[in-house]
Amino acid sequence: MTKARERAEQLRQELARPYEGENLLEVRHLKKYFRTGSRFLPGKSGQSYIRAVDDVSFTVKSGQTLGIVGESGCGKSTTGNTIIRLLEKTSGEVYFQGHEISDMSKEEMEIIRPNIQMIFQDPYSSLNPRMRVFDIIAEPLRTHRVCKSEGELREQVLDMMSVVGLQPDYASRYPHEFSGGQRQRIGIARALALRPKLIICDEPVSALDVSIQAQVLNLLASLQKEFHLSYIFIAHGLPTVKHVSDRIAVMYLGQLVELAGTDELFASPCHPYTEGLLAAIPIPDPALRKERRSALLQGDLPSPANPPSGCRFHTRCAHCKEICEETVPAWREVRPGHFVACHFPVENGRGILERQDAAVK
Amino acid sequence: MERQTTLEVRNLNVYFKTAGGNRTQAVRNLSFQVGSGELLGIVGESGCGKSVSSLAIMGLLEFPAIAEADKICLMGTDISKNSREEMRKLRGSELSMIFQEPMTSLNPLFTIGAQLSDTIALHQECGKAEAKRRAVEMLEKVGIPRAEAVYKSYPNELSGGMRQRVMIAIALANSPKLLIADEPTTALDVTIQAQILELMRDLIQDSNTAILFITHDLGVIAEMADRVLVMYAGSIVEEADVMTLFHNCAHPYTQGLLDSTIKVHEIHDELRCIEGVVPSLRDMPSGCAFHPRCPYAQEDCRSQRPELRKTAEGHAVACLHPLRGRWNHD
Ligand SMILES: Nc1ncnc2c1ncn2[C@@H]1O[C@H](COP(=O)(O)OP(=O)(O)OP(=O)(O)O)[C@@H](O)[C@H]1O
Ligand SMILES: Nc1ncnc2c1ncn2[C@@H]1O[C@H](COP(=O)(O)OP(=O)(O)OP(=O)(O)O)[C@@H](O)[C@H]1O
Ligand code: SF4
Ligand code: SF4
Ligand SMILES: [Mg+2]
Ligand SMILES: [Mg+2]
Repeated sequence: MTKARERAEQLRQELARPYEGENLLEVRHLKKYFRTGSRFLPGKSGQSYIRAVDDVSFTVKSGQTLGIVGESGCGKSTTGNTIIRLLEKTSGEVYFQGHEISDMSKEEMEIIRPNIQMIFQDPYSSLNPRMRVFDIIAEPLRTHRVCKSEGELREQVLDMMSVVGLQPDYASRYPHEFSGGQRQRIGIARALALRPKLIICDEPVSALDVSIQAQVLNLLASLQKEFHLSYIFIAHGLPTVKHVSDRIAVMYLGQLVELAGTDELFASPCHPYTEGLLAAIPIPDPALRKERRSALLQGDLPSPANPPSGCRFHTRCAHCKEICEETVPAWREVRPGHFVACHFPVENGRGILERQDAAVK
Repeated sequence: MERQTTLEVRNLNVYFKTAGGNRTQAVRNLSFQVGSGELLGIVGESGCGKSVSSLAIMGLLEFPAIAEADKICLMGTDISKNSREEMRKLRGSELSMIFQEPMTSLNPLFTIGAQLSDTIALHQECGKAEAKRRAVEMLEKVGIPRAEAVYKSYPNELSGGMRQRVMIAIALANSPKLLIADEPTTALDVTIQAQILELMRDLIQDSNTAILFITHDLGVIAEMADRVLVMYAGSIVEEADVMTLFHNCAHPYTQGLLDSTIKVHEIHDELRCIEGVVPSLRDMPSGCAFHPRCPYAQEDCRSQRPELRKTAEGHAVACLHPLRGRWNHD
């Protein structure tokens, strides 16, 4: 056996076992730049970059959910797509079970790939309309030659369908015959088929109705328990992220600005942007209607092609001082497990869990 | 404060002609009213008929849609039999509308200023210079920085939030009696949504405009509405003031919607979902349209269609077995 094949075999065996470590995934200083401007004018003059992901670091703990939240265009999908190498990174490192995967050879990556799956936002375009449900779910199993016989394949597919609550007689239908929520279940069954350890959910419920959102979120939660899954859960709205996440990372213009445990983040945010995001959530109780929201953010999102200097949030920040325009704030731990990138983190951040907090104590 | 009735809709029905010569019904016996200065929220899931109803009121429905109503009264005058031309005149003055995606209603070929001052000049009978002055004033009023510069720009040069502000400026330019806002913030980022909602609250605070505010987001309803209609499968299933709706709802569907909504302000929010899916127009269940999904359904719900009935002052529900205090599990 050659050295490479020996290594591959070792990796395969290691991945077949449950992971014992704490951090299933670790992302360090990940960058993904997109080139814009003319391809025909090489050199500095005609080129600029969209820094879609610009030095992002975080970990996903085994069996837990990390939420990533931020407004449109802040780089959430690019982060997810770069982790599973739908996109190649510009720089940085990604470790899965301690193995660096962003530079891994094609052969070794094939071994890793079944362990990391993705669920997409749009249940309409992410499923091939010309394939039957059975084949959609079976496709990854076939690609990775997991099943020894057609009978075993059939058994596994039907098993996955029942896990996500799809009746077995749906197997021969086409995606267009299903509602949005059902299509999302098909996408989930497909993602689960290879028994992954990590699923990256990119806005899995954003396109669904409220009552169907709840069905899918509850399903994801019960699957997590059953299969000891870890999730990266991407959404632009804090409510869904709060519901599913153990920890939440807040992203703004390609960078993380804050990361903390979910309750901590909602009760006492430290970054002015997080505070603004929280203040912006409509609260579904008219008794708590706010007269005036002083923490409401003003202004528009700047373009990621030309982000502001220093702290990228400074153009909208009420606490902005001179240093914010010049110096990029460092990413630091202000409380155990609570990270923030701000020169002047808010001391008693205005969360929206205060009332209950007081009531509980 | 005594409210004058701005809009009264009685028995609005909307049908779609299908290829086979049949017709499906998208809106069924819709009746409601909204008073001056009042914000009436309409909430319901995708396809329940919110947009179709508002287009019918505006006279904007096109074939294969057919709208029929006993009456649609605007300030006491029935407009349901109006000609296209008469409706066109009303729109932009007495009646106006804000859509979800502002690009669909802004013309990409004309500047913001041209579109706004045209609307003003057309209905306020003033000269060009005066229309421009009022247009810039309107842009400032909706919180647009550098209004003079924005006046000269084209829609695609503005962000989504800015475009929605422009739409609001156009919609409110002629102080309409009735404004229909169909998901005006759904396509926007949360921080921009909050700005737009805040702006709308400010602008309507001391105006007499009656507003129909359509959304699928109960959070937005809780922040904005005085009174609420809940729609399911083309019908109103519950009507109540906003406090009653959130704290004392009587229809199982309303309760299901509230249970499915994530409560950001509570530590442990359990999500209960409504099983099943919204029925399609071609395949409406018999009796109560909600019965296949309703946890309280009984035998009679399969055959008998519940009418919208008043249960208390300002509270009406269309259910054979309405909830009484069963909701309130906290
Ligand atoms: N293939 C690409 N080429 C060039 N620019 C891109 C590409 N993909 C994304 N971008 C840009 O990178 C930035 C981040 O995009 P991304 O899709 O990651 O955002 P997002 O946070 O997922 O937003 P949304 O909430 O709208 O899905 C955006 O400015 C986007 O326009
Ligand atoms: N041109 C059309 N032909 C046939 N059916 C239509 C047409 N337009 C709308 N419908 C149907 O009418 C019903 C009501 O649609 P409507 O657009 O009013 O829903 P909505 O409540 O506004 O939903 P959403 O929240 O998705 O905007 C839907 O079932 C829809 O499929
Ligand atoms: S670094 Fe300065 S500008 Fe940035 S968020 Fe903190 S206070 Fe605001
Ligand atoms: S009428 Fe029956 S099925 Fe319909 S909502 Fe009421 S209890 Fe449920
Ligand atoms: Mg995205
Ligand atoms: Mg609509």
